Amino acid sequence: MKKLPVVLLSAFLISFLASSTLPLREERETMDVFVNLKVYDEKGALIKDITMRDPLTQAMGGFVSRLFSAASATDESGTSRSLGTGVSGPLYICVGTGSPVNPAYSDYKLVYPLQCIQASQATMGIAGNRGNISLSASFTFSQQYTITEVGLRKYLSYNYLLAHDALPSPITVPAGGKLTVTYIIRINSGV
Amino acid sequence: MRNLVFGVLLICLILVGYYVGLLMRPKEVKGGVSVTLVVRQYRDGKLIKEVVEKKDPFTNNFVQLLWSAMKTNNGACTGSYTVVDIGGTSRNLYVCRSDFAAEYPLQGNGAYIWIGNGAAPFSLNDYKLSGTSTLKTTPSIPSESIADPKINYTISASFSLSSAMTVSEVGFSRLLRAPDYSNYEFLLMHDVLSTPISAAAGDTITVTYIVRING
Repeated sequence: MKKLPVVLLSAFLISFLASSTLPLREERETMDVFVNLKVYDEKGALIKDITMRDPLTQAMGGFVSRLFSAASATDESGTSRSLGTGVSGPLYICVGTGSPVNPAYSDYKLVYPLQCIQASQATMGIAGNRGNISLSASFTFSQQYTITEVGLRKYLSYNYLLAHDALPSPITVPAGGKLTVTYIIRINSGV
Repeated sequence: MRNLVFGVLLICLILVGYYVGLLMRPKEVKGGVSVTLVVRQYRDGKLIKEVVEKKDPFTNNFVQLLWSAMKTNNGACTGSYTVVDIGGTSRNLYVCRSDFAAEYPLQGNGAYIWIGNGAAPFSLNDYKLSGTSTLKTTPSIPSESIADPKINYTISASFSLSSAMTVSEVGFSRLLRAPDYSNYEFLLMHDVLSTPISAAAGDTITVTYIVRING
């Protein structure tokens, strides 16, 4: 009888642990956006490689919805503007050292941008009924930096932040090291 | 009796523990864009049937258009992409042209929602509905609802049928401006319904696209 509370508590804990550690079901979206970060040390050896699902911002929402109808977005100065109809403009990948609490749809700038580099020309591939668009940028640092946020910026007369991610844990790039950031947009990803 | 109470208590604690554990699971980071299609059939104002689909509806035209928006141009005014209009003609559109000729395809103003009776499986290269009987109409202006970090864009259209029709496919198209300064219509989304709708003359079919960003 004395063992009763122990048995009950054990049952509770076991079921709690079983359910709380269930693997998350990967829910695919019609169009998935991922960001991959690779960190190389000063000798060129890969020391970190992470891929995250990338939260999109209001500006990316505007860019996507603009394909359906007129749309507006908030630029990096916080001003809401009509996106117009142009598409021609440089695209940048930015890294920062700020600490966004929760990257939000309403984000329009990095918390503390460190550096923005013009991305490589976006490449596109088709496989079956799926399309992949990817673009990347490489950052080299002469001194050690700890990166905590990344973002994707499009310039169309004004700067618009299309995606903003807080890294799950800070990434330290050693002095002389390199950080490569790649955005991958997967269309018709198999929902 | 004591064993019964013990058993019930044990089961309850297991269930409560499992439920609490589920609540404590780390939240999945959402991103990306999903499209939900809702097709409803009304007869005499009453809802007869509703089909909800969440598939992959984007056509190659959409992929090309998004790719053009993701291209980076800085001084070098080059880059074109090919899309196929609803008549089947391939057309080159430009990210940027040094002569500025119709540089902005999105200046083509206008969009349509389509329904049809085709049942051919979706293909990325679809440029029109496959059915022999199709209807199109201008959709509502998209409405948006925001619950940060999520946002929904809702686009809808309504069809009053003058004759019977099996609705088995739905599409979304929009006008884009080509370098000849003419607007052409391009299919951006195409869905084949998992359950066709047999509609009678006088029925109303409503089509709603919900474009959801960040899950």
